Amino acid sequence: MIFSKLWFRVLWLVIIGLTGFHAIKQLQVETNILKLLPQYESELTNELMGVATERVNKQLVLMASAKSDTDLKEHFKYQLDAIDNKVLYENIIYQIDTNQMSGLYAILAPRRFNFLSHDDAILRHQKGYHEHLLTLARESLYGVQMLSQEQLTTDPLFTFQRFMSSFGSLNQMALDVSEGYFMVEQSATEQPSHMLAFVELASSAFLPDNQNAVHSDIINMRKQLAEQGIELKSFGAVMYAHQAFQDAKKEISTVGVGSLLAIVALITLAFRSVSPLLLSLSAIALGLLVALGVTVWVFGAIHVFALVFGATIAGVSIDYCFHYWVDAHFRAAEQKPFNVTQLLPALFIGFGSSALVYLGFLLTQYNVLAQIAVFSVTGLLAVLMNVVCLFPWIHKATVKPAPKPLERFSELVINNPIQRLLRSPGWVLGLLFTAMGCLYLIAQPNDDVRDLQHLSPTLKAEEQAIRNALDWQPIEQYVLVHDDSMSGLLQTEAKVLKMLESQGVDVLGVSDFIPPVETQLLNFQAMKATLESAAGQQYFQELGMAVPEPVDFKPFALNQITSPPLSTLFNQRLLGTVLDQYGLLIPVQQPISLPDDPHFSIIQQAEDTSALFAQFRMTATWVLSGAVLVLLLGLSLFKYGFIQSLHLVLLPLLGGVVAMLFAAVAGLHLSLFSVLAVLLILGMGLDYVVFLTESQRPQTIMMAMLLAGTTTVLAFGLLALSHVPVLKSFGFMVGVGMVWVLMTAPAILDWRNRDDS
Amino acid sequence: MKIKVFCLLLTMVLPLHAEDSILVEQLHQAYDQVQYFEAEFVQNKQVKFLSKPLVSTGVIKYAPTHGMIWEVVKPIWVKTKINNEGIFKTNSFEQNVKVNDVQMQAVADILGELLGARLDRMRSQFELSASQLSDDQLHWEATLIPRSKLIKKALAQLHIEGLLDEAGQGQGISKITLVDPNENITTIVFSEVVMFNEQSPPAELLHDFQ
Repeated sequence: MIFSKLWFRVLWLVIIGLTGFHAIKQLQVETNILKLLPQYESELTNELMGVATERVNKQLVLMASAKSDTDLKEHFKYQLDAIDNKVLYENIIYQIDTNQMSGLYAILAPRRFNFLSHDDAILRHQKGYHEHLLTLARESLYGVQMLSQEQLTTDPLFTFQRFMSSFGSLNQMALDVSEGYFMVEQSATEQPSHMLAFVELASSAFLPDNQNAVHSDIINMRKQLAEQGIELKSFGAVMYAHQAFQDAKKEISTVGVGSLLAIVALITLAFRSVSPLLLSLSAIALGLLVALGVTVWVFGAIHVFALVFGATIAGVSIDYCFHYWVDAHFRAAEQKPFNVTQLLPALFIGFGSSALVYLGFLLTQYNVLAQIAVFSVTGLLAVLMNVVCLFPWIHKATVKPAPKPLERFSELVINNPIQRLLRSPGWVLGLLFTAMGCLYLIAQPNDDVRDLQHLSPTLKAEEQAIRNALDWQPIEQYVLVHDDSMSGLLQTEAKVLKMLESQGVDVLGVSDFIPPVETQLLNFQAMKATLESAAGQQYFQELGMAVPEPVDFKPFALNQITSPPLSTLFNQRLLGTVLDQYGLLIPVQQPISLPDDPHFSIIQQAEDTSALFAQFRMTATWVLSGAVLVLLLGLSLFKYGFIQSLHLVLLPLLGGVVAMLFAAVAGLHLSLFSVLAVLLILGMGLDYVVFLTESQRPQTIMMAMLLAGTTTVLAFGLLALSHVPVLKSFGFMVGVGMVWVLMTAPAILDWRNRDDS
Repeated sequence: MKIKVFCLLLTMVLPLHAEDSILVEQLHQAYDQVQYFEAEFVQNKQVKFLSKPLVSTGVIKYAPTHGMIWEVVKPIWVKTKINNEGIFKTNSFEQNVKVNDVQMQAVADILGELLGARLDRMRSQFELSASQLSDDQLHWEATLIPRSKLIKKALAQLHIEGLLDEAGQGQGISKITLVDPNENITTIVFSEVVMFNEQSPPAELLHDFQ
């Protein structure tokens, strides 16, 4: 046998060494949760949306509330100033930046006639434009506003004043900035007043160090302000990420340590020796290392989700170890020589069927699933190689016989009444269709990406309180515009805005403030014509002023948009240049439709991602169906008869479907990950039925299966205690599914009786 | 030592509250539980640069539950309604169009506070620098200085004058004077005041607010 050859064992160790070295040297773990989301087809769209989401994720909103707004301003400002100099924060804004406003005025005022507010620009297209504009000017003259010489000489028609005021429309929050601070005052009622601060992080919100530092600052500020009777609320991706990280850590430490201890105790008791435990854990650890090396080599990096999900192969691959140890124990009990060769057919058929299921993930074309597929297949193969190559080589000690109670319990499970009912493939098929029918009737898949995670109710309540105070609706839909020049970008945006306006969508874009040069010229000409018109002359006569001297048109240079103060002002809209394309976003609240165009597209990130998840769920379901057919075909052609193959494949599949049905009845979250759970149950369950079928001593295999099944249920099933809906559902399904498979797998032994008879 | 500091603070604080109380008392006497207020106004804007003032006349209507109407009648006609929904303008070109007029909103907020006999917001935005009764006890006046630098850029001083009847009861605001940092002055004089206190005004008076 090749596996027992020294050169092969050495070669295998070299492969482990090389892949392990590559894994350690080149390991790059992607932790950004956004990278987990399915990607858009266009690379440009992905890159531009990456810029946008990273900017949004760096934002943190703080709201301090108190009855007395004088105390509020003083104390909140003090606290904000205290953290302002930290490198952690790029920017903390809590009041109108007068320098920014002055800077804005300084660069725009010299070309004041080139700019019109959105409302004035609409008038430009209407008849009687001059008269209308002059009426508005008179309203300003005789209205409540204060007048000055500078205003009347530089902006006699008040168009530039209206234009500058319109910048306030960019902000969609109901903020009162009359005193300079960002306030929401409620003096007329008993409600407290609020002061807002907008914080921008200097680096990623997904770095645990940043999360801890921000959280610590918030806690500290909250405590200090509470002493002054001021309540502090906050919201931002960094807060949610911190909470999720803490929850995950807590769950890993309770669930992970608990299941590990139970598994260690189980193996030690079963084999009455620590060497099977140590060798099994080493084999799995080395297998995971090889899997990591190969995945990093193929993909360049591995996403933390693929790593965590891939690591679950420990639960599958431990079957190989148990299979080895239990067989060795029984041989020892019977005082017969043990040879791993006898186990090879079962082990390789088991591996082949599991690998086939995992490889199906590649068909989904979802990068994270592809990583899971490569990781799982290489990991399983590596553990299998460790078992067949290294275990007989390293472990020479005499194996003690298995404990009697365990043997008796195996007997009991083999003869349990449930498996009797499923000895007929027809019954299995009937039950499968019944379960699928029930699933069809009651299961409600939820592909909404927002429901995959568990958001802290406290943080959600704080977010809602801030949104309510600001009358600030979350925007989940954008139009992404891109072009290879700034002028083209603004023209395209203006075109899109017109289309949106025709659909009743009232939204301002960057081009409403800084129009393309052609529009600047039209604005300039319209202003000049109004000033020189007879009505204009009369206006100045009424005021006792001379008509302003005509000036020549000079365009406002569009490249100024990319530097402060304009770039700061349009920070949430302009995305800079990516792949030689300028990009910008238009936020839209209402449902819209736009024609297909290479320069713009509607982005509904949550909806788009949810739709992609739904698509992947469907694809994964087809992959599952395909895997079942291929398994059926392969086993029928090469190993067993069709009916027996059908029985073999349907038993674990039924486990998966029943688990999904139970999850649906329990009201758990059903999504793409539920289909993956069925795939996993099928993969692991196939090992069990194949091992049982191939074994000469079913009691031996049943004992291995019980040990493996218990460890799997402990490792996965405890995830059902998680707060994260997707993990809870996944753990529950794998736990229930594997218990079902354990109980029903002995039904396959009926074929042995049939063959015997 | 602590007692001394407390006394010092008391001497600083007391006059401010005493001044404040005159204004509050007068506003309370005139507008406490006002249900409807209507007056004609004459606005006079004196801009140093212009040879003649810009004079306009109109009507102001205020009902705490409905909002405010600022209607300029001469030399142009424009009606501005301010309520919880926003600011709506009607002129010869457009009707009831929602506009974003920060200055109108600020003026409406201040007038709303004065006519509602509340000074919560004004206290946070203005400092009362002087407040007194005239020798004949028929007038009162108060001068307010903005606290924030931002408001100071647009408004140096807000002067409010009011009338008292022979019994010394406050009759409300008669004149508001706004002075900008360049000493351009805007005065608003109220006359022909119609007020309903404690009782609901006739429905036809509220019709305009619809």
